[in-house]
Amino acid sequence: MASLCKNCSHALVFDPKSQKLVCSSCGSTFLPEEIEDNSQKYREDLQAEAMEEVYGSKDGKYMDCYIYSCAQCGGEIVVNGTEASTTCIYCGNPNVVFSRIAKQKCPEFVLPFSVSKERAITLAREEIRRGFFVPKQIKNFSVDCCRGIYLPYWIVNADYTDAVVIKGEVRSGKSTVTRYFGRAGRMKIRNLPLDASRALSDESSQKLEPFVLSRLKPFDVDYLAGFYSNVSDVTYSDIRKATLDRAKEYFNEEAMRECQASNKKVISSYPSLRLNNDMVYAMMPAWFITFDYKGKHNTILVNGDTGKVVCALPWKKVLFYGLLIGVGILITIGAYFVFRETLPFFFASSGRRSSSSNNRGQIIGILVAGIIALFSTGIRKVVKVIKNIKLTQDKEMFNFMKKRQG
Amino acid sequence: MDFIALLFALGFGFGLSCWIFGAILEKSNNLGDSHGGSNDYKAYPKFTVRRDKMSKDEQRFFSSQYAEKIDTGAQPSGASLVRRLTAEERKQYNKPAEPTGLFTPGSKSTWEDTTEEEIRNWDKNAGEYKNLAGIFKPVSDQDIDPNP
Repeated sequence: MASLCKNCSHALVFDPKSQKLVCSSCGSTFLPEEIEDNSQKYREDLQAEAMEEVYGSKDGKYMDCYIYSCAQCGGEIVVNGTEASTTCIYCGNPNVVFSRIAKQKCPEFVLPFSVSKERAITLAREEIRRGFFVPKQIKNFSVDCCRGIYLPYWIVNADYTDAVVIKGEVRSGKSTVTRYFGRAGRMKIRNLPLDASRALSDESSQKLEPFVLSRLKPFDVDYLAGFYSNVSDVTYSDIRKATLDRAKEYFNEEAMRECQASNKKVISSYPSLRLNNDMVYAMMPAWFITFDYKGKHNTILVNGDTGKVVCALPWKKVLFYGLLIGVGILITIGAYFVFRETLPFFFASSGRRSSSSNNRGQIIGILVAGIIALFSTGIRKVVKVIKNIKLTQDKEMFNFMKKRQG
Repeated sequence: MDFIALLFALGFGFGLSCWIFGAILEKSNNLGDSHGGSNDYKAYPKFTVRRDKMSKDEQRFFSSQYAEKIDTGAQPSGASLVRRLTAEERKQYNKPAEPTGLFTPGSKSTWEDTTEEEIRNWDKNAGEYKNLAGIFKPVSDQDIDPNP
């Protein structure tokens, strides 16, 4: 149950703009720390009951459904296994499943929403409208659903050691030789926020970073009023793996930066990680905005604190490929005249001094390598966009956001 | 020669076009595709061994020879759900990282300070994060459920 207005007893909702609890009926405002919610003590022991037990339903789709009763009107609220706050569909009042955030399960910190729903939609629209290849229908998308959800995060400290071997190519006189570099060392990683919700993919949640942790506030249920929230359901091995991946990335990045070579690649490593057991449990804000395009659900994420917009969108294929081919032909024509004049010079000289012919051979080699690099970089970028579009259209992310009451 | 010039021109023309429009597409349709960097999490590796010209044999053994394995035994089981630990559990698990030295023959530990010292120093120099100084301090015992 949400905290009630001291003046008119209506439910209070947290307003990101003013950072206060606002009464929708009389307009009174209160600071979250001013409000004491007595109902919490009474409702801490009230568990959400499995739907299967209440109704005896054996239907697989109700496996993760739990029944909770609205503290305001007594109506049935259906929550999933990890939801901690939601809205009653009968009276519209915010409800918190206290048993899920009580005692050891209680988050220590919360980063309150500072971006309002309207602002989140405006930010998403502004970013999308700038896109040159974004179809008009998407630029003027109509919001299907917009929900503010507090995501559970563990903020982690860890120690990491590794010994990596990097393979790279180095110029030696006129030829290129393969060289092996070794870097061994250690690293500490501090305040790494890791998404603690299994239902949301790490790849999507990572992109909401960075969070400004200096704005974290001690947890208070009043910040959840009017928003949805989930609780942590990850295991230590999930957290370990996620931390290891990130630590490895930073370590390898720095090790590769130190090696003077081209085409660098880590070919072997021996990582070791130790999580410090002082992990901090915090709730981080995110807006989930969905819209439909050509029968597919797209979900835009907006960081509820910094306003960072995360999504990848389908593109105007005809315009993209038309321009790519058109510009390709134009550059080809220009390049043809240049190459027709210059290539005979490279090929005709092979009979003369061997060193100059070697140089010319190298220039041709560089040209071929450059062409391959241009193609591969361009294709890699397109593939990356396609991969991220799949994430934006991911059914699991859509269900994570959509399958909630209210 | 004209044919070879045409081949090169085609490769260069379409390669460059592919690169240009790949970059434009990425900027236009792929929003917010980044995550926190090493600076955000103070993840600065300290290299203790550097080898720049390793032979093929050397590179095969480098990782196992110089890897400093950290003792990760004192941690809750990987299959259990992450939760706030009780003060007692924290005491049990929060031993400072002890490198086993298994893979560093004849060498001493390279860990200069314990985790706790490092965090204290970090708190002292945290700058904008200063008000988070208490973030890693244990929660008071009354918040801890003795029977989780």
